[in-house]
Amino acid sequence: MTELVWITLVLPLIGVAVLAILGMKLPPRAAGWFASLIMLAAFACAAIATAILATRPAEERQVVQVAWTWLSAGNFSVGLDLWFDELTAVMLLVITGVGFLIHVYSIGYMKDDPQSRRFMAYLNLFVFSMLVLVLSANLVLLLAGWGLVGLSSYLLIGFWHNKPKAIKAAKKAFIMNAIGDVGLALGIFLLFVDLGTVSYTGIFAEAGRLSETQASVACLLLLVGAVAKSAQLPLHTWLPDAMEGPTPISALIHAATMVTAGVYLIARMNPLFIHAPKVLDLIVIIGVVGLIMSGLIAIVQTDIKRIIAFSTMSQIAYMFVGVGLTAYWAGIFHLFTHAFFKALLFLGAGLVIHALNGEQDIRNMGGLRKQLPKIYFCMMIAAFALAGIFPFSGGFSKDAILSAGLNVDTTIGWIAYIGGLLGALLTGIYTFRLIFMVFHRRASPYAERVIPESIKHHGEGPSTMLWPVYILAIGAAFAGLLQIPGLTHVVTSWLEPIAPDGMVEATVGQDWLTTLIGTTIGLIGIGIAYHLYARESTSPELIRNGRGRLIHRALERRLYWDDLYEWSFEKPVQWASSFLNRDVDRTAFRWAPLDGLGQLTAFFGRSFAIIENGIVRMYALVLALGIAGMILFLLVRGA
Amino acid sequence: MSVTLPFFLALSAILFSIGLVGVLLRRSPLTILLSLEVMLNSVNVTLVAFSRYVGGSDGQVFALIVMGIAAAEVVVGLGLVVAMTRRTMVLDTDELRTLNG
Repeated sequence: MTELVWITLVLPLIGVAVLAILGMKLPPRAAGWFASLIMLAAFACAAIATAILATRPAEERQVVQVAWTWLSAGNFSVGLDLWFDELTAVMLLVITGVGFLIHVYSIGYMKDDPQSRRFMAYLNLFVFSMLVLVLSANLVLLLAGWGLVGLSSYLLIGFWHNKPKAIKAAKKAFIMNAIGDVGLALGIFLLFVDLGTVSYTGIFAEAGRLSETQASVACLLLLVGAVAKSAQLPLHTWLPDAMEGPTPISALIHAATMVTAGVYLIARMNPLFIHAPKVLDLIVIIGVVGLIMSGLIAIVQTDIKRIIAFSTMSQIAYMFVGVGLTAYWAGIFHLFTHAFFKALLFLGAGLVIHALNGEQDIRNMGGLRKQLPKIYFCMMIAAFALAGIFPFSGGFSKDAILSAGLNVDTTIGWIAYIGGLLGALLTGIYTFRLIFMVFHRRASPYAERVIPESIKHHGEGPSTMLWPVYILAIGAAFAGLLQIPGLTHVVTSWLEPIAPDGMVEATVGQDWLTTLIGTTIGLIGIGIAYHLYARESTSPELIRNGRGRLIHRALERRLYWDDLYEWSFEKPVQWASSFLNRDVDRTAFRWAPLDGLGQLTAFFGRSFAIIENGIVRMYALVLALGIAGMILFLLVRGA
Repeated sequence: MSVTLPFFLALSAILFSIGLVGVLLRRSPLTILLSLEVMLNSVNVTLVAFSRYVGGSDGQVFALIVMGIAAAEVVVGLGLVVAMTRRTMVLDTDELRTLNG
């Protein structure tokens, strides 16, 4: 079984190597299929490994394999160790499975891009990095994977490097993530100082030795990393900008896998976080505030991908609430279903953008349900799942998180519950605003002009793009059936062993009550969206100019987070450097004593430059004479 | 009269001096490289001679390493000479002095 896990890990790396070396010799389509088949093989290995894991008794499902010691100094040693257990298995399946579908989709999406092979190589690199992240058995290797996914995310956001906005977004994502990396690294240092180990086994065994303060500080630092990677408050501003990258990237990295790494980290380190209850509460608060805030912002955005990006942020906030309430299984369950429906939503959006020749503004869409019926159908499934409507996957997982809040029955639990339900209302509104604006309404003049031509040209899209969408749609519709309250309990029983200190699990009654309330609220949200956006009479302009104008403006500016960072970090640095340039460098350093110092240095430089006459024979002579002199000196001195 | 250590050392010193004079006096890069080889091999003679004198084989191993490195150095040097010829530059080290200070 461990061999299979190793193969899963190494396959994408082979893909990168082959594409990097042979890339330009392969035809683009072959390169795409090669990368995709690599992913299919990796998925098969992961699936078989998971199946083998499932046949084992629950106590033996944690497999740690030490390959070799990577670096060691004193009692500090880091190995290239793999850790394979139930949580890793879920992550592996999501990464390779959704990864494979998105690879196939990319073949169609990047068909006309001359650099599609580079794209495929980066995609494989990303998958490898992500696998390192989830498979590592110690925090240092996790940090390596953490940094690598940051790098591949940077490369892929900035894939179109002749687009200044994309480069800016890539840099922004990298810098924001670097803040998180620093936090994570400091957390690891602290854990090593306190516990003397960085391996999971060691930390979990020793975590009880920590005082609450020690544990809290360490968890807080790990949380900085998680917050940056998962685009949560207050380090979230990079995610909407990251939508400048190609759409498959948004689906794979900025929805299904990488941004959920923060949730994974918290769930993975749960034996540590359990000793820091205040940090867990903080996670819930970050989640609740984040999900409401991003839900509100999503309602006014006009770029189809930005809307989905904010929705991603809000859904990850739900996952944070789940793991913060110690209902790790619910958080991971939502991660799992979210990977399906959010990737589906992004890929569907990609198809719509494709059909509209690159248009991303939803105001220029409308009425597409007749021309793009298949995409419409799949997007509807994704939208119902996202809005948390009952039999769709998102409903089960979101309600699992909320009912955990009900079950905890503390102030924090109630905040999570009420906040989460409010978020569900917002989710219904923004999701179906998107659906109604894109697929219903009367078609915009632009859509009317472009669509018939593009349908005639390539139908709803090439089959490499449509099939992944269909498969994801099946997942988005039915993945929730794994955990029907009171009926099936695949997720809870599978993930039970990852939390030695137990997890919160709502009762069947609480579950169904939440499902009822959640679905009702979601439907109300859809109703509001229908009322506001589906008909011709109320155009969004009306809202923009109505009483809520100021709020609308604030939401459009994403509640001024970007401006805050610009004015508190970017501008001061610019001011300081222009001050240093204009007032210090150009005036103070022209002051005679300071300037004289420079002149003196230059004088010495010029004097010694005479020796460097450029004649090689002269250098050789000086060298020979010098050595001869040294030998003579030693002889005379009689050494 | 058997050939003893001082003979080898004297030979080595003579070879080294010849090589050094060659490096210092000639201006063609090819000849300089040749002279350098002579210098390197004079050192090899010393290494092997001492190795025999002491009775170990360390010195011979060093001599082999020196040969390997000399080969690598000649590759670079001759590569430069070829490149210079291709760019129709003068093969005269005194003329090639663009790196002066």
